[in-house]
Amino acid sequence: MNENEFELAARAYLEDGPTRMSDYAVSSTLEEIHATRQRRAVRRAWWSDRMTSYAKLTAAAAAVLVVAVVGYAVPGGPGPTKPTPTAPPFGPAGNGIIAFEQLGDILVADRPGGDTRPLVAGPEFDSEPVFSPDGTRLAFGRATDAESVLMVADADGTNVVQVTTGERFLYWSFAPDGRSVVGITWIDGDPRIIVRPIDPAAPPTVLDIDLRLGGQELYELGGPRFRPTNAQEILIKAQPDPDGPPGIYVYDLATGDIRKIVEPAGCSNDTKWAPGCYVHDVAWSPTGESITYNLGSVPRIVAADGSGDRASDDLRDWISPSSNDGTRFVVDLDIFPVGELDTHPGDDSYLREAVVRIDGIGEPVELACGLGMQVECASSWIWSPDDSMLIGTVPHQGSSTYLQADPATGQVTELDWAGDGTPTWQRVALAALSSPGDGSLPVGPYVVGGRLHGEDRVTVTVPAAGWFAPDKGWFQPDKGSVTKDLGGDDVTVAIVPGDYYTMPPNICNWQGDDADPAGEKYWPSTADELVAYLTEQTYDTPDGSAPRDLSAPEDITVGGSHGQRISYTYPDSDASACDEQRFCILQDRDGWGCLLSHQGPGSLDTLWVVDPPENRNYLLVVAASGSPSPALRDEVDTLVNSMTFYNE
Amino acid sequence: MNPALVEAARSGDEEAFASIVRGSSDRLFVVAHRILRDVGRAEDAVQQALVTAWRELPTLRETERFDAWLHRILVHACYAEAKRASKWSANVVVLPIDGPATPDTTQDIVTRDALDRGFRRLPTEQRAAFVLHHYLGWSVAEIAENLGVPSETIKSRLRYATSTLRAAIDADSRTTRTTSVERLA
Repeated sequence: MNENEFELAARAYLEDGPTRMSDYAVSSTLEEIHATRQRRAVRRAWWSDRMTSYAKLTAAAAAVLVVAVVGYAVPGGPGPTKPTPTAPPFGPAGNGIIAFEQLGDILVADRPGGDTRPLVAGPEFDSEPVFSPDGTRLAFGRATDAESVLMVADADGTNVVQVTTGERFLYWSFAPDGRSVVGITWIDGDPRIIVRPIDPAAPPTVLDIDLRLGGQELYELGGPRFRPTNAQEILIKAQPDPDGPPGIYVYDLATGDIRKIVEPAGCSNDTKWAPGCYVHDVAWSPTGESITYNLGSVPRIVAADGSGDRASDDLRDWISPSSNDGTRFVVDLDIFPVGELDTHPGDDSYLREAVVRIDGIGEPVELACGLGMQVECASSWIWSPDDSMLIGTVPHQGSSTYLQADPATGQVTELDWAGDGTPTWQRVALAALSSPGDGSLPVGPYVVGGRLHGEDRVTVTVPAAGWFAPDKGWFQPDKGSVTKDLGGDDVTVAIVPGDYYTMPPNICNWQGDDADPAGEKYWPSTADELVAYLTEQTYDTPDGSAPRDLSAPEDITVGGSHGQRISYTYPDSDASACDEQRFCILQDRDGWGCLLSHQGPGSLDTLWVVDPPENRNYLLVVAASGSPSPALRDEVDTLVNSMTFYNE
Repeated sequence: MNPALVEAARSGDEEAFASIVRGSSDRLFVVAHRILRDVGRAEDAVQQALVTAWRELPTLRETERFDAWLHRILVHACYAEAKRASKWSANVVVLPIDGPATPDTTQDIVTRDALDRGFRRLPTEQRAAFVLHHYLGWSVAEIAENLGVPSETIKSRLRYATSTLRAAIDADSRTTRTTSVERLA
């Protein structure tokens, strides 16, 4: 049956049936209406900029009162202790509890298929739970007769507050710190972006940008999104110039500045739907360092500062979010496109799903589900915070079935849960919670956040007190790094991410198409090659190009693999005229971003480059930068030499 | 929908709202029945939706959105009705009261039965999306905005509803073909 035939059959099926409500039912309805009193309209004046201080105070007091009543009426449930330290807003993290809805209550379990217990239970109908990125709060919808309201509780089910009051609030999402939500509401008939603090006593912020959208256009806006790395920047699509085309902007909540990211060239309000002008499906990359969007049907990617806008063929139709380390996602394989079903009679493998890498490396890992298998495939999947598992949702009449899948092997099992809708998995800190108390890492083993290229874990042995894992970074949640600061005597040891590295011939003029007119960019595949090419890189001086000062490389062994260590000094030249005002040592394989650059004058930088274990295609590059004393340098050596990488 | 009637009803004119009820109840009933596939439950859902609309109408600030708003209330009422039914009753197959307007071919009957079986397997949210899209002709964007859910959610619901129904048709057609071959043998 082709698509047209299916459409006709579906329409005929839907048209088939009774077409009139009985007279008795209509009369009964009118009687009940007669017995029902209309609700009085309430002016929500606290949104208005023109409100008086007195009115604001009254509204705030009323909001506090509402919170108190709601908080008293809604029982909390047993749950885990609030996680400390909190999980990073992106990247892999530890696995907390899993929440899902069952018959209007929110249940949680400690692990997939584990015993469930109520977290938010009561006479209200609650649904669609979502944990905040930092794992500290849980938002969910509460159904009233006419509208749904957004509720937020602490992750243990306590302190339930009502965030919205029944007005339309669409396309919302959490801030990374879980303290606010951003979404679209309507003020005086116009759609506006609004940031609502979870604290109902705190006033909301209406973004001072005119969306100038309405009708069909509004639905293509998608949701405004906080940057994964901070709660200050919001990604939006808007049309500030009524004659210009819609574009992509980043709004700074602290300053009110609007940073232009993309405005399609040569486009106007009249041509905004043309393929070369139509911007849609705008989103942050998992790390917040870039923004993905579609221009017409072409997927594109641009850096968070608006630079490097380019087409990308790495973006496909996902049925899951990306893994937390940003390397994998689940797709429909569409082995037999719908129109070809008739040519494969008896083949019931028509529904197939697989885990694939975003960079296309390696074969897809097919999931053992689908027609003909023991379990159905899921309509959606979520990743465990540590990326080791997937939970899938198979919707059925009145309830959902849940599956657990291993993204490495494709094994799928059905869980002994009964619920409704997509579950949400709490993210908690990856590092052990038994920290010294000052936030520093305990002496001993530490699993660095993230995986090397989605495959291997990296562990180090923290050699002494005073080492910290930063709470933000570009690739791994702790930047794949640890740092020690003794007030002027500091060092940061970081794993430099990159699928494959390219190295610019000239570390000053390294960006763009004119950086390598002779095609001399180098692609090292071993530690020895990378270190050798370091000696060939040059920088610009008044007398012409010159190589940097490098120490003699030393052979090392890390994690059982051969490597080299080399130190280098800051070039004796002014970087202000260089691309991005810095000297770039390593770039990613596409050569448009800089993964590792020279630090400032006076910084002693050391590089460890290690060959991978067998059957891996990456290089492990570790960089230490700072101004360490000899003693601290010894600690760094101990730490790096303790590094191991392995596949779980 | 007559805007003047909506305005009057919003101001408390019960007679104006009664006109709205008489003018829309059949249309709403058809949508509810196509989602719930049960006459009694569909009438309950429509009644609940209209009573709710009457009570909440003064809070609707954009009267031009009345129709979409009313359908949202109806869909929510269908969700609630489906959940009430799933708690208290077993799966009961309800045959349609009215038959097709034109004579069916054997293949039409097979397809319709397969669709019916597949449709009854769908969760209510997918049914609602399917009905709003294929019966009322709403776009994905309209469904998303009117129900207050992301368009990606609606796309996903439609995709899986379609997949399930097509699989049901396909499974039935293979059975039919097999049966035909056996009879010939």
